[in-house]
Amino acid sequence: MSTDSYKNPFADYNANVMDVSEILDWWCDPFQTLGDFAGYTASDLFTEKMPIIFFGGRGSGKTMFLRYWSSDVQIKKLEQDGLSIEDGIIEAGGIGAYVRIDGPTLRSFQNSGVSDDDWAAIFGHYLELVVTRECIQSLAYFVRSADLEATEGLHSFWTATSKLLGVKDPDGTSSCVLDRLDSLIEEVTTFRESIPFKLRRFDPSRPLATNSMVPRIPALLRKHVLANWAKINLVVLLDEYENFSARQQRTVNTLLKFHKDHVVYRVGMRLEGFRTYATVTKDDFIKEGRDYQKAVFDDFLNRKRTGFTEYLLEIARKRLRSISHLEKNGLTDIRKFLGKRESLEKEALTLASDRSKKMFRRFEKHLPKGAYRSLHTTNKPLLDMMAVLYVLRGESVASVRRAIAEYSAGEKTKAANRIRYDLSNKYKLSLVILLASIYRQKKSYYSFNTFAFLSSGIVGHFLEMCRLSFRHAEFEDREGLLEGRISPAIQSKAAREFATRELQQVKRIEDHGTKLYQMAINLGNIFREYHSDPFVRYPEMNQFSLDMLELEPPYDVAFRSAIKWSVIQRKNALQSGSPGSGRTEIFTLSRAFSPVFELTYRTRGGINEQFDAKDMLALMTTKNVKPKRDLSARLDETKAREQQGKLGL
Amino acid sequence: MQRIAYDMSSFDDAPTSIQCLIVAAGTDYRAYEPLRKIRSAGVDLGELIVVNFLEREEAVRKAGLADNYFEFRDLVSCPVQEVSASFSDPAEFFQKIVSLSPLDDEATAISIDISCFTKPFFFGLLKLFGTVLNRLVCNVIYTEPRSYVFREGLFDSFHASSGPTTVTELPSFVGRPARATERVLVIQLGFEGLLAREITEDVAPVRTILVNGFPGLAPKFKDISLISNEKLVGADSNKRICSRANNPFDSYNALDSILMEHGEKFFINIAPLGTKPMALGACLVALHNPNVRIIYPHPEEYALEFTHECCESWFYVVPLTLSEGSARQASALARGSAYRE
Repeated sequence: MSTDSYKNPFADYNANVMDVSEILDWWCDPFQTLGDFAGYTASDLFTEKMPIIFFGGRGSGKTMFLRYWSSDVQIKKLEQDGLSIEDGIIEAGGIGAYVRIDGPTLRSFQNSGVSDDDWAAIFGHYLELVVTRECIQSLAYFVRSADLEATEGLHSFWTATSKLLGVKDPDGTSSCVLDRLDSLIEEVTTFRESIPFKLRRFDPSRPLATNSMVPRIPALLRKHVLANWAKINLVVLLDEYENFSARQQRTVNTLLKFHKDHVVYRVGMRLEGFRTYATVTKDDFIKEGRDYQKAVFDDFLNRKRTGFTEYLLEIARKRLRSISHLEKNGLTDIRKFLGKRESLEKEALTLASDRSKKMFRRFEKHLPKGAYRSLHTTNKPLLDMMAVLYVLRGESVASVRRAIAEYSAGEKTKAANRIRYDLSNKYKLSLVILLASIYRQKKSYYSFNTFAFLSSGIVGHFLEMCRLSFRHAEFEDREGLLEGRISPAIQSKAAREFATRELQQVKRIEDHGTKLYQMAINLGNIFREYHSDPFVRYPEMNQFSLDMLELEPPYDVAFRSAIKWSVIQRKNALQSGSPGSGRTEIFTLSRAFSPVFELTYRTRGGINEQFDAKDMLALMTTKNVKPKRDLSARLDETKAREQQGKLGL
Repeated sequence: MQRIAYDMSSFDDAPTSIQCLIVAAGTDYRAYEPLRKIRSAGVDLGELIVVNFLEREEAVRKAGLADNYFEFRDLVSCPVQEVSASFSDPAEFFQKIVSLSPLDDEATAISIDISCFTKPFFFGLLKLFGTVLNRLVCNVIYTEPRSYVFREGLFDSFHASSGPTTVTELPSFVGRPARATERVLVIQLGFEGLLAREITEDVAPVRTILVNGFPGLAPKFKDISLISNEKLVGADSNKRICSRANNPFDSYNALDSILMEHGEKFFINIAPLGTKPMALGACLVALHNPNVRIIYPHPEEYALEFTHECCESWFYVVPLTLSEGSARQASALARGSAYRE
């Protein structure tokens, strides 16, 4: 078997750095795979007048999504499909101009002794130039690719546009417009270059106010060019809006609020990416529903019904197919490598191995003598653990032994059914995590299902866990890898490495990274304590409730930053903080960190930790914050029975 | 490719007189090693300018290390000027130092010890010397650490900085993308892989070239930098090259070759995360090619002490421009070294 053609199929997946062909190669159409994509159709992207803002966590696929609709990708796709470029663009109803100003550039519009107001004006001018340039570039590329240079009126359109930009003797070409825009951008660059050494005024040769140039392009196009294609919309695909400072966002917000006919805005930003809703106009704000519509990637990717797992399978399939060895050998289903789902029974067996007495010894103070002999079932550590739990919660050894006997005999009695239900749905994962804690071993994280859960709706997380799994497998078991096997141990190692790196990265987050790291560590440790509770009173707890409005600066900003960077995730609907309490906002510590703290990989709901502003301050600033419930106390019998009732035992 | 003249020699063979030396105050032992050598060799030092970073001084005082920090006061007998600066506002410092005597006198030759300067500051200073203070060459001193501080094992545990990080353009090194909107990112690899990853995500290059310091200041360092940056190193599309860790001119040549290959078509961004001599090479390339942008992860705070003891101190004569004058002056100062392509 030739394996020379093998390379890690998940090695490069950052959409920012992909070229047009790669975007097309790796594209998985969410409109098709997910069915309901926030209620939008592909054509809405080009024709819906109101700005649409796509929110999503880091790595959720926003950039891939926005870049796919840009003119260079769409035109290449039409070419690949052998379709008419002109007809294709007319049918779509718009042409996309992808605009991304990188963070370092955005951050250069500050300090150096220049006032904030002056920087805001300079930035407004710069943004207008950059957006105009991308629109012109997209139009020019379309005209060239579709061979439309001879279209009547086009020459006068380029001439008029050049004149608007202050060109004295335009030659009626797109190059003339682009050259002029480049030289105007160069003026800003020169200013940014010189200002750290010497304070001076910015004096552009053609000052542009916000929204003064971009809306003129479609207007001029319609005026000068009579062809059908001139009636299309300009679709500005503005990415990484969260990188804009508050003052810069005011400029963009103004564009969104006062967008003109035939220029539509599609914006990609992180969750909580808005630093302000204000515009440059005094006392004017943009408002959801009135000025823009919202679509949250994580929401529809993170729900079972949306087909997120099918989406991940399709993304992985494309990656695996690109490697000829894997394609030739039919190894294009990621589940073949990772397994469909984990086997908790096997894992429990491995954890307990031939030391089944240890779990009984762990609770010997609370168990009657002879409990091991009465309750132990050979090679069924989960059943053993469940039995111990029943007794710890106040049931008699005799009744539990009877129930186990009925369950083992396959009887359908009430007691046997209860065990069946508890072991299959309710406590299985909790018990394995508890077993891992008792046997002082690490919980394993493996299988496609587990990786999908850990990724929490963020495609990039899933791809990174796959990349690390394939990388480790290549070194540790290349033969197995090339035959479509990656062991649970290797997958677990990858998941743990991924989780550790994600957690380390939190420290470096520019907005309150140190506080967020402390918060993540505290939350992880608190939930870890709940997971290690021998009475399993709060199974798989990884959520908390908080009224964000209670938070004071800077903790409110830090908390929003935690959402922005997906350190925590907000549940999309209000829920009860705990049984019997009122509805409130619920948050989950990112499941990506679960392997670090040995937590569940799923979100179960039910009982949550309830935090207030004081708690959050402590979580962000102090070490070793403890759970709010006293987990050290053993349940007394009455309390235990009460609790068991609540948990349906 | 234009020829530049350079000189690289041990500081032990340095000139018998230095007109004006700029150093950054620090607690690393290497911070004042050239001053110790100047004193023991009887070198005639005209004036010493010490840049005191306020955040560093505050941390030093809290840590009770003020004696080490201000050791320079006991090491020299020449006039000393202490100039304060803040990591958070390099521009304020640059605008202040422009008119500082004797820097404002074009006849005064400037030497700078970059060992304890943060990169944004020494990059900015060299540009300032060349573009505003009209110097053609500058003497640069660098002292190699004996080892770096690894707090928990060798990998993923070195931190020259801590806390939140913001990726920024170095002041005045903004580059000129012109029509080349697609970027090539050149990363001089350091030990902090997370920083390289941040930069890659921010710059979004179509191509990434990794420069590892080899031979390193110590044999193991080249491996630590590769392992710390495993994700970038492992990506097939990323090209990997080497340049010597203590030689800015080797670094210059490596970067110059990249510029020759990609400079016309792409907007070149360089992230100097490697050693200071490698970064010095990047600085010179950017000085000689204003189209190049320098990107750097600006931390909230720098580690107080991240090296142990020191080894060789180097003395480099660097041309700040590509003009004939720079070349002539560098040649005149270069003792025994030839032109180099």
